Amino acid sequence: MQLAAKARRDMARLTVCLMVAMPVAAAFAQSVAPTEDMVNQLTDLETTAELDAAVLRQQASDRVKSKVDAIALKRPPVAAQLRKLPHLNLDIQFNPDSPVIRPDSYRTLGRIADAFADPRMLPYGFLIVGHTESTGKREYNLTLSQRRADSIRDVLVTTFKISPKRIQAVGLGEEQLLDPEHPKAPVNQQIQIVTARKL
Amino acid sequence: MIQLRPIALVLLIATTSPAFAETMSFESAAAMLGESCGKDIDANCFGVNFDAPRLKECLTRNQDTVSPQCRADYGKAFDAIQKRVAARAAVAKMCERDQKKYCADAQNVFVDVLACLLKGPRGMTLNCNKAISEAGYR
Repeated sequence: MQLAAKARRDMARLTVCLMVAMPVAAAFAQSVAPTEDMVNQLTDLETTAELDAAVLRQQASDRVKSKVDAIALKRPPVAAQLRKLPHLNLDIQFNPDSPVIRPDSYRTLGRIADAFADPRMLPYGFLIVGHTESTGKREYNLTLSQRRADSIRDVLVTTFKISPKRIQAVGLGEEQLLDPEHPKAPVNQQIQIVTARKL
Repeated sequence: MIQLRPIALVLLIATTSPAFAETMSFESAAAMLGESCGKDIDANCFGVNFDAPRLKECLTRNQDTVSPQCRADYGKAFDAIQKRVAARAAVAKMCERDQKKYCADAQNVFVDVLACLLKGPRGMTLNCNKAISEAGYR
């Protein structure tokens, strides 16, 4: 009788142990999915596009300086070719008027680093593209978006040791609105990750 | 007499840890830092970006004022990031011999070599096997 009681007690303990262990395994499984999505979205590069960040920066800067397309609502994208490449848009929060990334967005940065370090992504080079909504001065927005894109690149390189050769940063300010129908919408501040070339 | 307690222990260990421990993903480590230290970073390191050496230095300098949760986690988070970086870097070195011996047909592109090694060729070295697991490639 005593033995049977002990066996029942041990079985109850075993059940508790398994109940504790299984959610831990499930939590690890869940955290994998978003990175997997990122990899699938970004490794679908069919063209052999060679986008140069310096050229894109110059295009955006020239347009702002020339003051053409003054009305944001009718402004054509400055680099329409970017839209044809595999890309994804991410919400990354920064301190106001600053390139410093908010701690709420550290997870997203880690996720990008996981994706960039994935073996399937190693043959590709990427552009980090910064955007702003159409509020304030165009020139200021162009500079701020460049500083923010640079900031993300720096974190990936410095903190997560992603090769700097694989990432270029470009700020397009309000010259390539992500929601052209609503130039002041916050969605225009999103960061884009674009697969730009095969290494 | 059946001793269930040792069995339970073995089962618990087997369910929670693989043969070689996988290092924490960058996402989990970064999330731990942001969640445990977000308020402390705002209060003490507002202008410091997510730059590991600088942010770690700032949090260490302000150790006396940061929350207990942050104090307990920030070192772990930075260590985890560093461990995964080291684990990823170690794969090429630890698997160099296995690559030449078992995956000579792979086009020397890392993704192909890894796919070959993940099939676990017979005779693959323990070190290479361990390096792949620790890097989180399984």
